[in-house]
Amino acid sequence: MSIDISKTFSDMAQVAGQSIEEGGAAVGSGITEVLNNNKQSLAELAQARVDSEINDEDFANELAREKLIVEAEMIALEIASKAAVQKAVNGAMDVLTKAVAAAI
Amino acid sequence: MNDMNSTNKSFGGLLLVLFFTSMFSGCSIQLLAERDEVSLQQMEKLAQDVDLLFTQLLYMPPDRRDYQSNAAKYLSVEVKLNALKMRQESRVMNELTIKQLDIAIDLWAQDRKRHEHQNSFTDFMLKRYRSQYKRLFLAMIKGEEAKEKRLES
Repeated sequence: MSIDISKTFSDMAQVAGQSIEEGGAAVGSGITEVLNNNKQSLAELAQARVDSEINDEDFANELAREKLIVEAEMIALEIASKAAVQKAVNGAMDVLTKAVAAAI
Repeated sequence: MNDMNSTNKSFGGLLLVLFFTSMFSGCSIQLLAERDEVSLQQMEKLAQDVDLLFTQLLYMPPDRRDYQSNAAKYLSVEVKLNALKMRQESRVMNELTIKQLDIAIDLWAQDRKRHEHQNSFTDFMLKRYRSQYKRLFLAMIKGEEAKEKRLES
């Protein structure tokens, strides 16, 4: 039995594309969520300084903390991106392996 | 828009390289550790413990928010954070989760010292810390949940 390599590659691209599309959408909405959280947190912080609820030292410390929290949130998105790439490549390879096995 | 196009191109290039690497090596690629349910449970428990501490402090009158009465809770969270880090270090391809955990460990040490030094906490700071740790643990949990589950053979 022969293998239809054009169709196999097209199926591989479709499986990979779908994984990347799903992963990309999740990362996109994740970035928006991180930025919104950060915006709200920074707005509260700025208002607290204006109202003298915190002093300059606390304000500077809190800005540094906020950066670290955003870094951790961005790392979660980096993990999600890598997971999407891994799923895409492995999904495409699985299509090829099955097509070859079926043709033998 | 141009940035998006160049990001997509780089992403596509990376995908192509990984695809051919995988093809010629004849096996699946692994970029991340597999999802670990025990780590997820530990992260969720830590998130609860930290939330409990800051919520309890918030319910107390400000003059009773001293460090000494809460020192054991700080110690308990610190030990659990260290145990979680040790578990993460034993897993391959897990550097990103370790980085998140290092942020949590550094912040916790800093906050414990701050409470010990000031021996008090304002409502504003308690609400802020509670919200920040919630975001931090949620980021860890989301990162872990994004990893692929080990396939049952």
